[in-house]
Amino acid sequence: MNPRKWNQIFELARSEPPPDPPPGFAARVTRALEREARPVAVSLLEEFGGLLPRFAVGAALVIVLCVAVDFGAGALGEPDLAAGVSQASEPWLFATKGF
Amino acid sequence: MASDDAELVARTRSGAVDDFGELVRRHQGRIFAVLYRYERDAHKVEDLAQETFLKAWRALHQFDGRAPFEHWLSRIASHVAVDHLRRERRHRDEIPLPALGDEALEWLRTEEPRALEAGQAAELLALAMRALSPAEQLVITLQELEGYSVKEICQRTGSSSVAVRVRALRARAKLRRALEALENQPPLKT
Repeated sequence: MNPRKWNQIFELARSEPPPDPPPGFAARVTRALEREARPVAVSLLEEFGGLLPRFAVGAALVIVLCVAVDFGAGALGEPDLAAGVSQASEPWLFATKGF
Repeated sequence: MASDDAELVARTRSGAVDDFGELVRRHQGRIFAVLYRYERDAHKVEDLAQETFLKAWRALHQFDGRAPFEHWLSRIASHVAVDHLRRERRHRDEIPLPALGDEALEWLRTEEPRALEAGQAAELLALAMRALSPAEQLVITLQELEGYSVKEICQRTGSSSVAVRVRALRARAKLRRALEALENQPPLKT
């Protein structure tokens, strides 16, 4: 390809007028923005659903804490959680003489 | 009195969507022109222009006012165009060659001085550009069609000067080969 044609093709392409934006294009963009900016209504159930992962993490932490306390108590020779619960419940669950 | 761009940007940041509409009206012509360098389908250009303005609106907090708003917007349009080229790359061979027309190919083949319309030249170039990667298309478009210097292309693309020069050199060689391949193509049957 000769250099003259090379330059000419770019010159011509540069001079091509671009298409005009269609009438109402700005309004179309503004409508899309308004749709995006509008807060989406969230139902109570969806809000609760959104919180579920946090509940799950909280529950897992409580379980880990209980297991750790149980181990700790066992290592110190203290009654473990199961024993502690039965001891704690004994006075009122199996009370024969009342409180 | 009409507000300047900086004022409209400030008002848009405080939640006035209508003021952004005014910015769209002011700059839509320029954005259509930028995008038309990468995409020849007017409907697709319209969608890409909308995407450009939506991206600009989302990133308005990043506009620091050091460069004119139009430059910042044009840079977003270039990024949108390159992303579009990457998405379309796999379908690029599906666009039919006859859309180009025999006249443009004849102009390429002959050594005699002939007239070629601007639209035909742009079609021809767009077809040859298919041989280039999106990054190469960006560099050659910015340099040859938009008239930016290497330094300006570096600022717009975030690439180093060496990378831009190498890419431009490679793009030019590929484009030349692609145009020569079109030159040697047998005439289209109508």
